[in-house]
Amino acid sequence: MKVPLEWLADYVPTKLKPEALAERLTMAGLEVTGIEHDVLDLEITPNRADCLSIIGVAREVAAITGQRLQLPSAAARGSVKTSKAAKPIITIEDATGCPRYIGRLITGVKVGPSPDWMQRRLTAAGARPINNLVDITNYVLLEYGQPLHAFDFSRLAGGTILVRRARANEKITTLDGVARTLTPDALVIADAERAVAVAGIMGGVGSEVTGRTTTVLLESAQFDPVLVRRTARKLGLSSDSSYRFERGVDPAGVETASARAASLIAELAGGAEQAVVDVGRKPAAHAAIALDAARANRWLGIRLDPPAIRTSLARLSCRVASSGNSGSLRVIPPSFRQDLTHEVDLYEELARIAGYDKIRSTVPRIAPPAAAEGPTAYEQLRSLRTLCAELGLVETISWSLLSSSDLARCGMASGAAALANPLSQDHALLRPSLVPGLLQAVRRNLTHGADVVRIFELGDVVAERKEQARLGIAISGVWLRDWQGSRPSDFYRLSGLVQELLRRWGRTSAQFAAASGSWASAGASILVGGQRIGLAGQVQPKILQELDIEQPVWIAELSVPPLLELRRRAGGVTAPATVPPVRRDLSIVVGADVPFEQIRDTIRQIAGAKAARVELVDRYTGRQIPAGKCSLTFALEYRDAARTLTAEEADALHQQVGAALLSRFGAALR
Amino acid sequence: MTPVPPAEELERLRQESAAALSQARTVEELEQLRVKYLGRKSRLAGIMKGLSGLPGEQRAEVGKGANLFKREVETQLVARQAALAAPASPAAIDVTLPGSALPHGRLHPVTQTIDEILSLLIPLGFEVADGPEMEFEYYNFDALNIPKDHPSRESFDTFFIDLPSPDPSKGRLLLRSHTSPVQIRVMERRAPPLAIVVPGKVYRPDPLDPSHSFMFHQVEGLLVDDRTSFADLKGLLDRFLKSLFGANTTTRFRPHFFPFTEPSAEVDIACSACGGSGCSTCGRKGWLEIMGCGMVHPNVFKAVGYDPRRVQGFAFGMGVERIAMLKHGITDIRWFFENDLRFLEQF
Repeated sequence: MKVPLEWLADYVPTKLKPEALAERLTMAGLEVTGIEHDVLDLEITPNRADCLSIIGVAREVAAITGQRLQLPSAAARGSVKTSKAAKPIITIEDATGCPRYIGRLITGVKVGPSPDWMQRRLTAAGARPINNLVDITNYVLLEYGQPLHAFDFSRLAGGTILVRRARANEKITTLDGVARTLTPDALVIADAERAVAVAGIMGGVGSEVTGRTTTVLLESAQFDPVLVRRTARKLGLSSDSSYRFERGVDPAGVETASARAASLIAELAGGAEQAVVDVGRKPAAHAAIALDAARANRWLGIRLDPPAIRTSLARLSCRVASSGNSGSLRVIPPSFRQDLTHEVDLYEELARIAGYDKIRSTVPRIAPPAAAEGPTAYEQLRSLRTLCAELGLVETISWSLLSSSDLARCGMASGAAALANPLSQDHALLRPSLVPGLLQAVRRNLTHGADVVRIFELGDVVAERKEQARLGIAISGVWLRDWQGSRPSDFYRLSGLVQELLRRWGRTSAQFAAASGSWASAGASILVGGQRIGLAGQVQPKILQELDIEQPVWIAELSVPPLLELRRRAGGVTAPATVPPVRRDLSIVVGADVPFEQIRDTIRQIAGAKAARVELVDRYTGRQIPAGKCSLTFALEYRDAARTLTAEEADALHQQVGAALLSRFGAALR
Repeated sequence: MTPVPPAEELERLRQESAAALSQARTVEELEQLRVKYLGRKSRLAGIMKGLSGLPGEQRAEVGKGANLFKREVETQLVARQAALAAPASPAAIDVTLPGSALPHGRLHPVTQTIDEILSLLIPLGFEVADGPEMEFEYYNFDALNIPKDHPSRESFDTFFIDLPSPDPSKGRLLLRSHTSPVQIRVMERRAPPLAIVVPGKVYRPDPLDPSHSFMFHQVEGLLVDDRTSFADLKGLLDRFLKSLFGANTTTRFRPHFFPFTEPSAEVDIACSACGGSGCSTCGRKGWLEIMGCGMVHPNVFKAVGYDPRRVQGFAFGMGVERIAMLKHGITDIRWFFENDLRFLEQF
């Protein structure tokens, strides 16, 4: 809302400098976002429709500075000569959509340019001067906040105005030149034949004032905010008029603004008023609001006595009566403050008039919670994030909204939930997985020359119509490199990360069962206690190719709820053993196709509780090992929880282990 | 040639061996010296062998001297060996070569900022709560006193989700446009008094540019009891912002409009870049908008079944990225979601 200070001064002659006035307005809730050429730019919040006018702002200035408001006199106009023949017939068919309609018939107008002062003010306020009649309606709209419309009366069929719902598929070309098709949920102004305006939003071509117009029907009406808003949204059409009707105009202003415009037309376009037709309800008085002074003080944390409250509210044009008990007030807000409906609305006015900055800060005493609900999901997820960072991974946050090609690339195109009103197709679908986002992050960093990417993301996805938390890990490039050597990323780096995560998070470990997924090749299901909690693997080369990623990438995606459950169930710790273990090495040559897991499980099974440690320290294929075989070397530790094992006992156990591997897998001892 | 008396010879050997041992440079040299002085063919062996030919008195004396000599050489050998085995010259390792670093992980700056915010509020008695990003229209709007077809909804443009609502009585599914729906969910479940903070992701259909993103994070606070006032809200937030931005931070509370609070306020901090005189950081205003807040509207209490005559309290909310940007001088909000390690690894 642009407010030329020179115009404002007509109603409240403030001596404040523009910057000082701007500061006062800002601190009263009318934020001044700019001052240019003595025009204030105000940001008006949706509740303050009354300030969408120069007079509304002037009232506010008067209230916060304690000055008097001077309103223009609308009464000074030519005498009304009512001739029955010319009187327009105005009918309201939808009284909810249009509670009141005032039509003024003015004859003998001369259309021409408006005076310079008016053109200057309109321009400063951001309106384009057109001709005196249109300018006067715009001027009064800006002055009072009441939208007006001027029809060329000679072009209204039958000389009638009917406020009704649009007919199905009724056509109208609005003043912006767009042909529009209406539906019965829109309210229109019609003559005897057709719609001539979309009520409260925009007039139609064909009934507007032109250079040849001599008789004008001036519309000043009240329209239902919801109806105007719905229609404006549906038509994708917003105007200064609809903007104000949506927020609610002062019902008392319908009459005042109409009279003011008529007086300006008489003065500046030489018209003579022939008739005033006022149809519909007169505005009902604002309902009184009960205000409890003690509660207001408790709510705001201030001390205002009832007389001070009265004074403050009176400055805002509220009528205040006390009923018996002096602390209990009855407040009737002025008609232009449609936003004041609740007792707390008045509390805010009291705080505003006192000045928010004048309210002395105190520190709340927060009562301890009745019962803690245990660590929240956020706190648990925070621990999980920290653990991932400790494992050497950098946390990323990627878009939750992706394009269909982002998903299609990863084989996830079908079934992803879509936005009904996306901003663009690039971000139109809710991610069903963290994988596409991780891959984008990997690509970005490799493109910028990173030679290692080790990242994770913890976030929600929407899969099978449900929001669910996931943990994604992606690695690519040299896992670790320095001048002493390097370790590349590979599947075992990834599975090791997952194992370490599970070990630290839930004192448990995962099993990996070969599997592939929409994006994974050479991958594995991650199983804990037989339950599948995720997928780990190398990203399919085809996907990487499409992303121009030229080196392999490994990704693991885990479902978070089972992880939280693991954490909850994690058992107690075991005491460190007090008896020393007996160490033995075991080297075998075995078929390379025997899954390692089976060999390890056999060792554990034979040694039973005495297998304190089973660690693979070397796996070798090549020279000295027959084709199709591999050599495995284990470091084993045997221990009896209760007593020290003798060397003989350990050797016997070790032999049994070797024998079992021989009989089950044909393993040869080396 | 008169044979040298054994005692005299031992004395000469002692001096000679001591000098030789102290000059030995390698373990091999030491071994040669051991053989020379203590070996089977050494002079010592010769003296010992000749002991039996000596008269009784002299035999005992020479025997004693020979043993003493043997022990002395052995001691010197061990000492010299230890000296040779000790770390050689300092030049053997270059201590200035780069050390071997472990892979280093980090938390995202948004996570770190949320953690910092929470760490200032939790000690005051706030509990952390959370709720879904895919939310019902009812929790995002209606229960928060934002009626349908009301212009106040305009400030909260929203992404709707093209899925059938699992509970049509709660309206359509959407991506929450603020963390405030969690207020409703918690109050529906729990009786007052309560004090919660809610971090989370929110979504608004704003096209991407350096200061706008359709996805960002908020932290929301809610305190409800029977006495907490607007003055308490001012006090708490002033203290909070001083902890977050430094003890010299000046705050300002300005009337504003939020449908779910009354009175409502926007909180500004004096621009630290220009000290309040106006610069490009603050858009020449001298102040930076940092959060919104207010006293919870009684209609919100009504919606969750609280008695609006008996409870009162405040709510506040802030944008996490905005705070992180101010704290770290970040000029583009999109950096948070591009996941460039050169950005992330600075935190």
